[in-house]
Amino acid sequence: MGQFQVNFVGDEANELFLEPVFFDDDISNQWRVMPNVVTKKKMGFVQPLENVVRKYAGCGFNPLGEVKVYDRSIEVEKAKVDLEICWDEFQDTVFEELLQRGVRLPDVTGTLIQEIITQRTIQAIRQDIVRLGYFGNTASSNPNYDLVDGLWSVFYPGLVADDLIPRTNTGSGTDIAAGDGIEILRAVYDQAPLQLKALPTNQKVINVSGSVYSAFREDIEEAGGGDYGLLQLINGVETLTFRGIPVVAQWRWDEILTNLGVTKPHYVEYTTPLNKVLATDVTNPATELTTWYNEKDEKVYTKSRFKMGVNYIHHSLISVGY
Amino acid sequence: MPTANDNGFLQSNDYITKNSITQTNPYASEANAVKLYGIDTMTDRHSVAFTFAITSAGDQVRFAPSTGSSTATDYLKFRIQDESGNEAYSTTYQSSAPTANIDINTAALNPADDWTVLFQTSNNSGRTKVKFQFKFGTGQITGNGTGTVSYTLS
Repeated sequence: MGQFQVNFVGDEANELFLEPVFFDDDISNQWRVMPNVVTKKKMGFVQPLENVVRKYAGCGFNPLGEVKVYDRSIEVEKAKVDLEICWDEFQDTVFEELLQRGVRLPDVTGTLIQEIITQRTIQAIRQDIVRLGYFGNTASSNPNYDLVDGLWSVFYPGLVADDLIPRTNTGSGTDIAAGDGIEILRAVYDQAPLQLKALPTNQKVINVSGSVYSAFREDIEEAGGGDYGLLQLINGVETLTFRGIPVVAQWRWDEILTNLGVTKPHYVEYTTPLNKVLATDVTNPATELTTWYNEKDEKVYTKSRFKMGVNYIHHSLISVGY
Repeated sequence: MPTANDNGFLQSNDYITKNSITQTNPYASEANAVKLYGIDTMTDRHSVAFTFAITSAGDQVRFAPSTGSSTATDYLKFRIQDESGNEAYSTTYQSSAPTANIDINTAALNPADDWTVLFQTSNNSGRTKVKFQFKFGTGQITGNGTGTVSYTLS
């Protein structure tokens, strides 16, 4: 939780407490960030080649075997943030002490007020990027979601419908029964494509909605694991693991899915972070913002402009449950 | 109790077959060890058909859609640009009259150039989309050319 110490001589001294904002994980830990994508970038794929060795019985040449090459493209969409502040919001309040004096009165740049809005904007962009990356849908009529197509809303259902990735029915909509926390992870793990199974454990992650995480933890406790058992300390952070793979709670999935009208969502994504691409035209969208004071309008403006798009790389490295 | 592989995933399922992507050059040698395949748009498409009519030796182009849009959130967009950097365009929602004519004033475009028409349409709040481009030659422009453009899903 952020806290600003306000020291000034005035009617009252204040402390401002920012309501907590939580991030399940850093963007770069969850996604392969592909910078400098301005409109569209093609990703080429080469399928494997096998079964080309044959008996050699005599002279002659018989071509056999083919490598198929195909490509997909990742597209980015233009995104914006526009915010403005007029000093009159704080007129005749204790916060007026925070404003500047004289002709600079309306200019809130450099004050605590501007610091608040900058910090909150950076946090908001980070929150929105992750939300859009998973749950964006260009067919949505909700402007909070219609910027890009996301993994859970568009790509994963499409891959499941094409039988290109396996899907565990986790019984979303009903409560998770005792023992099913482990059973869900076991099903998602066991059904995974062989390519994903063969990937080294330390490169993989199981992202789960909060409901699955809680059920998994309870199952461990019920089995006598308590706070030990499968609980590890990695870089000082308590981490649950399943068969050696970190299980990461995505508490925001529960919040977002509930807002989208999904009751009791139990989502599991078993993959490697390198398999999820977040394309952008800048290095870090969350810090791509500018703030300025306009003398004529007597307002402070904050704006951000960037492009972003989301896609996956290999379907053979994804196993899901929902 | 969760049900694993509820959708019937098979290890042998591959992207090209499942998405019915066709070979880029179907006339290339069958024996080639490397074969290129086209791109999957990840977006559903719908059939589109319209006629065009150039009038006044290039001062106006009329597009008359016959299929493709039917609901309030559908749109059709035509953008025409010449080789000199001039452009003219029209965006119209087709909610009340899905087959209404779309007239674009192209007087500012150079009829001595070839023109490129960039066409985009979407249906059902963007659930299906189609976009492609085609050209008008100088002869078509100055000769008040007409024609039909039809995109039919196979």
